[in-house]
This record gives sequence, structure tokens and C-alpha cells, in this order.
Amino acid sequence: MKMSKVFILFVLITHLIFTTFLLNEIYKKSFYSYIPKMFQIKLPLEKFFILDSVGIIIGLRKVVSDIAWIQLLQYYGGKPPESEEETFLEHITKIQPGKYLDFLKYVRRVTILDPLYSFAYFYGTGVLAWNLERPDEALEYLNEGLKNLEFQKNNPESDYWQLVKYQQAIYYKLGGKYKEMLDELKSIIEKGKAPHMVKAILANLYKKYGFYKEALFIWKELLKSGDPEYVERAKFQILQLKTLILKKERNYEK
Amino acid sequence: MMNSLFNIIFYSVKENFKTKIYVTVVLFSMVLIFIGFLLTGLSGFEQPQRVLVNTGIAMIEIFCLILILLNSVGLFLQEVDTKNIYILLSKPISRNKYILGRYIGFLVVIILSIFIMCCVHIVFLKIVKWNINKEYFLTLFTIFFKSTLITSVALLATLLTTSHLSAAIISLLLWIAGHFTSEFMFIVGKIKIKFLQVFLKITYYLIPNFQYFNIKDFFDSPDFVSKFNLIKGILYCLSYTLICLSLSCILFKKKDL
Repeated sequence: MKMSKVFILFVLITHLIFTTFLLNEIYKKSFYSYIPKMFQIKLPLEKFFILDSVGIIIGLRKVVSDIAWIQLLQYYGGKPPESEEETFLEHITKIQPGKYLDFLKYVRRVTILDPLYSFAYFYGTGVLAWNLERPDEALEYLNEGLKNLEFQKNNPESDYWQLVKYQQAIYYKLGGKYKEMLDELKSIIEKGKAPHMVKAILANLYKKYGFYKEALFIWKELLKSGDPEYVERAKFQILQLKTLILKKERNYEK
Repeated sequence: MMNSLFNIIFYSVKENFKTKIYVTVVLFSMVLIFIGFLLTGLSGFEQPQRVLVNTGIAMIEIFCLILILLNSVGLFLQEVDTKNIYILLSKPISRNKYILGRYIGFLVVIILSIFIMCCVHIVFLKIVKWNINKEYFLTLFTIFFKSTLITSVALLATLLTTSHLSAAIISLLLWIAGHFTSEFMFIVGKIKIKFLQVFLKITYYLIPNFQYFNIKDFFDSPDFVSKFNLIKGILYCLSYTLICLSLSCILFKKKDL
């Protein structure tokens, strides 16, 4: 009787080891292998290390990533730490090189916690390349995104290919091919996946290069979206652009 | 035969619902889902639903774990302490059936709790006009798998330690370790001592790997979810649960009650 119990226990433990080993091996080759490992990537912001680590170890990556996203919006929406003057949402219409130096760390933190959050890649790349004038950092971040979204490569409509377009636009910018860069950004926006930030960037670039009608069209779209961050700026920009268009037409007539 | 099993299941469910902890935990989860709803305003105009979706799902999972650790495990030991178990075992019920009945009872409570919390969550999701998709329900399904697994582990730990606190701590540590397996393996790879490496590798395979069911961290990417194999998941969960339950039955049979 005692022997049979020992035998049952032995069979159970062998079964436990065997099945878990076998299933682990099967799983390793599936979706599980895509998850970035915490120790293989350095968490970028030390002050949030405890929060981020807890999120990872108890399986709440996404919730902590949302907190990181809110913190990023607060960082970028607030006064730049490098500047003395008080500003509010200045980045919507102004290029701010040399400001928000930790932006890359903040946005990288979001996607380390949630590597499939495509919107963060679009937003981060757009801000770094055109608003903060740091295209090298933008490319560095973009490459991380391309690596994490590589499994979408076979789908031409996927976010992976949208990121490739951002990459091309940055290369055009670096090469001084501004017309091509604008066309690339336009095609990104037409796909409908671009953040409002990127739309505002394109509108500002159109304005800068004298394409007032195109800029006006984008600001009207942003006004229609009802995003409170953009509504007031859009109203102001629309008025300004209408005046510029009138001026341009008068000059043309003369 | 089956009747007595159903009676234990029913008894287990009733006992769970009667406790103050159950009501508190479920109500608290709803409050936190509501906080997630309030946080939607902070996550930007373009992604308002994201925070609510993620917070809600995470809360459902965390509160299921809390329910298992605080309520279900506690109730089992309480029954031994208050000697109520003698009344049950004096009836023609085998000890195996008692364990199985209690376990299924816990699972019924978990299903009902997930249902209640999910209903509240869906109401808020509808308010923010989020389209509920099949990935959402798959996520809830995997939360149930995780709960099934951790309940069997907690039951085994309870019988092994006969202490509520230590059983809860062991289960919680295994929960953490189960979400940390890939990082654990990474550390193992760095260890130079061969013996320790082999020992840790065996430990890795013995720890319940909750990452296999952690769809909630990736459910908004259909490409990624498509790589998740539900059948393999069920197999892993069933296999692990059956072993824990069998060991629990053996331990309970040996108990001097």
C-alpha cells in the first residue's frame, strides 16, 4: 500500500517535470519569444525603476506603460526643464531645439514596458525629428520600434510600414529633400494613423515652405477633431493662414 | 455520487459569497475600474480608452488573485480551525471529493467575480465608445486560466503549510516568479557554476509560467494575439492543475483529522 503511494507520487512528479518541460519548450517558439526581457534592456529612467520593475514582475506591463505615457504627456506638455520662461503647449506651433532633453528616455520607457504600442513610436519619432530637431535620436528610437514590430512585416497595412515611412521622411530631412519629406509625411497622415502632433508638424512645415492652402486644410481638420490641445491654436493658425493666402494672391495679381 | 460533489461545490460558493472580504474586494475592484475611467482624461485626446481598457483588465486579474489568496484559502483553513470540517467529513463524502468540490467551488466564485467585474468594465467601455472585440474576451479567458492555476497552487500550499499567511505568501511568490520566468532564465544563463545552473533550470521548469497566459499585456495587437495558442494554454493549465490537485488530495488524505 505504502509502495503504491510512493509510486503514484513518483509518477506525478515525473509527469510534472516532463509536461512542464515539454510545454515550455513548445511555448518558447511561439509569441512568448517576442516579449523583450527586462534584464536585456536597461530601464531608461532610474527614478521610475521601482514602479517599472514591479509592473514587469507582476505582469502589469501595460498598466505601468499607461502611467509612463501619462507622465510623458505631462513632461512634454509642461514647462521645459531647460528653460526659465513659462510656456504652455508651445511645441504645437514652435520648434524647440535644445529643450526636453529627456524626451527620448521618457518615450523609450513607454515602449520598453509596452513594445507593441505603435502610437508611442509615431508620436515620439515625430516630436524628436521635427519639433525637437533631434533626427539622430528619432532614428535611434524608430529603429527600436522597427525591431519590436518586425513581426508585422508581412502586412503592408501594418504599423511597421508606417514607421518605415517616418524613417524615409527623416532621411529626406537629413538630405535636405524637403519636398519629398513633405510628401512622405502627407502619405503618413492620409493613412489615418498619425497622431495630431504629426499633423500639426506637417501643417507648420507647409506654412514654413509657403504651402499655405495645404497647411490651412490640416489646421481645419485639427479644428474639426475637437482635440482641446489643438482647437485654440487651430483657430489662430486658420486666421493667420487665410491672411497669408490673401496676401499671396494679391502679390500674384500685382 | 455526483450529488455530494455538487453539494460541496454549492456549499463552497455560498461560504465565499457570505464573507465580508468577498464583498469588499469586488466593490473595491469596481471603484478602481471607475478610477481608470476618470484617468481617461489624462491619457490624451487621441487615446482616451486605452487607460480604461488596460486598468480594467489588470484590476480584474489582480482582484481575482486577491480573492483566491485572502478568501478562498482562508475559508478552507477556517473550516479546519472551527472544526466545521468534521461535520462535512462525517457524511459519506470521500476526502478527494471534498478537495475537488472545494476547488471547483472556488473556480465558480472566480467565474462569477470575473463576470461581475467585467460587466462593470464593459459599461464604462461603452461610455467611452470602445469597441469590445474577441481579443478582450480571450484576455478574460486567460485571466481565468491564471486563476485556475494559482488556486490549485494555493490549495496545495495551504495543505502543505497549514497556515493562511504562509500559503498566501508562497502563492504570491509563485505568482511573481511565474511572471518573471524569462528574466529568471536570463539570470540563469549568466551563472557560471554548473550545479547551480542546472538546479535553477529545473526550478524554472517547475514554476507555473503565467507569462503563457499573459495576453492582457499584448491583446491590442491582433498579429501578436494570433500567435497565442489557446489549446496549448489549456493543456499547460490542465496538466499543472491536475498535478497540484492530485498532490493536494494525497496530502489531505494523510492529514490527521
